[in-house]
Amino acid sequence: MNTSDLIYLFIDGEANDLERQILFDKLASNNELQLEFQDALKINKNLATNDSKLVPSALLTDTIFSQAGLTQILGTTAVIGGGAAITSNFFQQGLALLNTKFAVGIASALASLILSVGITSLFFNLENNSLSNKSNKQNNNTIIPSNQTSNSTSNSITNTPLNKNTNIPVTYAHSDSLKYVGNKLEKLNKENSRNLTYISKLNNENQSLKEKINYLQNYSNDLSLINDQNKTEEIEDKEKLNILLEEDNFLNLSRFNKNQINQNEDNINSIRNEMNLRNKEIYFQTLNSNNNDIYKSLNRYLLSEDKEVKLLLDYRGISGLEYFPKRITEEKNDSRYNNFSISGVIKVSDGLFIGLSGGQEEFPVYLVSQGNFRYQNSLLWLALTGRYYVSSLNFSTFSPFIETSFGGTQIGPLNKTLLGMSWEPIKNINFNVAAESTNILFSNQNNVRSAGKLGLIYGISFKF
Amino acid sequence: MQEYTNLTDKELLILINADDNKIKSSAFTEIYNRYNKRIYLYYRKVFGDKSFGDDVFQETFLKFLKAVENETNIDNVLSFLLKIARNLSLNQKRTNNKIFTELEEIHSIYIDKQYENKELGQLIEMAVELLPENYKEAFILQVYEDFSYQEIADFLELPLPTIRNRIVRAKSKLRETLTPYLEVQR
Repeated sequence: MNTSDLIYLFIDGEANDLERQILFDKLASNNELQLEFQDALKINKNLATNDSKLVPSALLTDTIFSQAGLTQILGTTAVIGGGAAITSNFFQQGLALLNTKFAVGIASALASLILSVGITSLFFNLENNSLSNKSNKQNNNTIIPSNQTSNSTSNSITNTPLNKNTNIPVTYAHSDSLKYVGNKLEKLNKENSRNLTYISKLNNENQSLKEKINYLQNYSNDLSLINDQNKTEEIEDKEKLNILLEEDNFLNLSRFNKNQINQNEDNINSIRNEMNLRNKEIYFQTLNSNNNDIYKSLNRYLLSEDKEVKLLLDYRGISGLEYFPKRITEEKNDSRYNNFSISGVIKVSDGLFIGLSGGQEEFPVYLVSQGNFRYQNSLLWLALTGRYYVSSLNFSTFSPFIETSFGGTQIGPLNKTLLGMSWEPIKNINFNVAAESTNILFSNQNNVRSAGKLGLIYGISFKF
Repeated sequence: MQEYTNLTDKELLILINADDNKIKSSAFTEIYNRYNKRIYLYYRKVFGDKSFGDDVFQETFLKFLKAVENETNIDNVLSFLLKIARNLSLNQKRTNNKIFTELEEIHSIYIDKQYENKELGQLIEMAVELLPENYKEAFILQVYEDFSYQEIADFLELPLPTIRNRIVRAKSKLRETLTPYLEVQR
């Protein structure tokens, strides 16, 4: 076998130590071999991604079942198709409705109501890890999530029991530099577990930290979790932190010295950049078994040495899209400081901020009082604001958020509800865009009237 | 159907022999869902031509069904299906002579689309078809069926060094065929 051949053995993971040594010795000085190595990698990459479209046709499948005298059991396919048709029809009707003059007002009121209810329910459930609770409900309530981990920074090893009903070993995470954020359970099926090879976690058997390696086997598509006691390996004291990073379809194991993490900012940044993590979030992966099903538990931690955001200051522009009732005049009496808002909110718990906001914006209303007619084009407002960043839906440097404000204007009470996206391209500076529904109540000829507005918000936030 | 997805292959094989046609259908559907793509891929890679592959693919599952009616003690269903597939492929090839892609055909595609990097996958596919049969088989099992070298050796009942040699030769040949394209890409 010549050196070129060793390239292919190496890429296939079939080269032994000696062959690897020979290959890399030659690669260091042989340009031709380096080119061949690059070519082989390129071909290999294309081989791996090139076969997903090859599937038997529906006709071919039907023929097989028909010739076998059997009926193909379609599962949920038919239901999904029907649902899609209904949804499509529903949206068409919805769009038609939105084209009517009346619809904007109704949409404004509905959006405000739905968002307000949603925000209220989220606020009440913030501390309860709604994601993991939801997962539990879906999974017959048999999984005990690892939410017994301390919510605060601790200097002790934290016990995170996964499931009391099975013999899966208790998992420990050394958390003196980590703050527990949340937990999410994901059921593994045969498809998405295909590339999982192993998972590592920390155990404290015999009062010492050990790394236990569990293999997730998917041989012949029979998914099974194997706890191989012989694979337990003692961790040296200086290496108490074991971090598992998730990539798309596989798990990467990296072990870091805790002190290195504290001292080596570059190291952390590279992890964060690689994983598109924000605020030094670290993911611990553990496996959990329930009868025939295997669950991946995604435990999120925040490295506590990262400075936590305490205060957010916002400046926003407001663009009115539609008014209800519909605006009937183009008369304006704006000052140059119009259609803007500023807010300051402080952090009260993970993702949740509360504070004050205020501004002035175009909101045309007609007021008749004691025989006098008055046109009010813009309103000044001040409100108490609650904002929640839905971290479970974060992607890359984007964070969705929802916000609601209750306050008043010079003519009556006001409610604002926003649904938006925050982008943090630079640390601690966010750019925001949101859809906003504003509703006001006011008195007109001794009657209480309401008015609404749909708007587009764009702005910048500074974190402190 | 949901409950069948949780069953092991062995349990499904037992249910395929049930008297109730609905249970039998459900169990076979589940087995089919688990393995059809891999078997289909195997055929498409072996034959290249779709029509031949489709015929033999169909026959594989029918033969499988017949086989499990007599024998449910099958340790590895995928391996069993692939064995049937392999025998059928060999028979088919014997009767239909060799199916191959003309070199000119590949060359013409290469000339037409040499600047389109996205075409590399397509070129690879055609280059695979040009591989000698014994190289191709080991190559397909390794690349598309995710078999290890040792598993391929066991499956084909050949010594491990032979398998290593065949796969390495196959990949080396593949690279040789694609070199003009890869050089342009550099």
